[in-house]
Amino acid sequence: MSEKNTTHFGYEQVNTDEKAGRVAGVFHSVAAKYDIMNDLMSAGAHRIWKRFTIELSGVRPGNTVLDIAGGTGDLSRKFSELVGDKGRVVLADINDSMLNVGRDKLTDLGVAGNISFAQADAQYLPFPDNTFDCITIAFGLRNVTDKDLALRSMLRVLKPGGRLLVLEFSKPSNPLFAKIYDTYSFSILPKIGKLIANDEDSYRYLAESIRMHPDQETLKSMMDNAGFSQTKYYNMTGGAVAVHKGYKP
Amino acid sequence: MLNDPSISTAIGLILEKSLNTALRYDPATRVKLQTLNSKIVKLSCHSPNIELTFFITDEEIRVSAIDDANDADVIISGEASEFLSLLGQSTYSLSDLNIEISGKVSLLNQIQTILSDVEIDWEEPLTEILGVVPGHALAESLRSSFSWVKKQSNSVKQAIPELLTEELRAVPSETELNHFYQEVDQLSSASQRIDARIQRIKQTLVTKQI
Repeated sequence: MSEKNTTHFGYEQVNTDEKAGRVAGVFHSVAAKYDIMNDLMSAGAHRIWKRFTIELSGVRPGNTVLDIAGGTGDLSRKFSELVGDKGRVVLADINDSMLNVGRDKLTDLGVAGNISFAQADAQYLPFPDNTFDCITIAFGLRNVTDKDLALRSMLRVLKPGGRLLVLEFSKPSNPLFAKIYDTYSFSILPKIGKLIANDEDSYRYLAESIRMHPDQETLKSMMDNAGFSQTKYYNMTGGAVAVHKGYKP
Repeated sequence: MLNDPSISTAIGLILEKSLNTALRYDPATRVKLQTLNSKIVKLSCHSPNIELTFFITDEEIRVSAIDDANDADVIISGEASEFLSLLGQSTYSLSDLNIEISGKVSLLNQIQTILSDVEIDWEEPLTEILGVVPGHALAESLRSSFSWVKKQSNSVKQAIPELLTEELRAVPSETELNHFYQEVDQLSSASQRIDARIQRIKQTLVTKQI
């Protein structure tokens, strides 16, 4: 297996063609318990990280927003409220199980009218050039096989002046906190996964995929290389999570 | 860690949810709030640095932790400890605290008047932010903490006067004070009666001379 044709799936090296299927398996497995697991794993902090991302997005009435890897629709719900009747939100996810859970949840909450759903791969977004005012991808980029390709695809469908926000796990800045975080991720997190979702492996993959994801500076330079301008990032919860923001020139 | 944006975001989120939940069940206050539509209040707290912007709209109050409002109508700034000392007080004077206010001060008075009757329940926003189980647990522990603080504060309120009056005898008790006030009142009445009698005698003497 040549290095060029392989990528990581957690700590495991897999064929690039294989990764999407393996990631899909993880999310098919966790979709039903995704929201409750997020609450338990982050002690509710994921809602705060998402809220900060939404505030940072500066989405206004009339805007067109694409929520990639939108999963169970936390961001799309708020965006639908912010863009109003004249705006439009597209909740996209590559995984149909996650998309179904998200669509049912939003429909039950009465979120409708200005929102549509698309099963889409972030690397090959099925939208015309210059379509969106804002794109967000929350806790999704690390699961994408070719992140550079996905970033270029996002740049293409953004309108000039549009912004991309990437919310993702990152590298804690404090060594002591990093140690505690590691212990939590590899010892406690999979146990919670086993207890609640009866799926220890998927949550072990989650911890491993976080460690394999590019750190703050690397992701920033990847966004620069893809063609985004004014890129910057905001660390949250001691750098365990970061939001990267960049504009299409 | 204290300057982490997630802290100001969490505080903003809890404030926004709490205020708007309270307003949802209080249409009268909501109507009054419409007079302040599109007003912006910025709160700038130091140590830790927390910037919150309050956008008042027709229906609700939106709280943002992103500092993108350059046209705030009023800006309140000060140390976190000063803001914390305001919590739980029904009446207060900002002049007693080291808090700076710039812009339209009258707007703050209006907001204070309008929101003075709003009762805030912290459980709903906490469960929405943290999830049902941790949110309820935190709300419960906050409730018992507040109740403990209130109980302690009441018992301190009761104990201090007892200590000063009964144990230390540093100040008179309320009963002693009331007795003293009664004596003063009686003395005042007696002196007024003497004064009246003197005036009457004087008047009698003047009449006899004529």
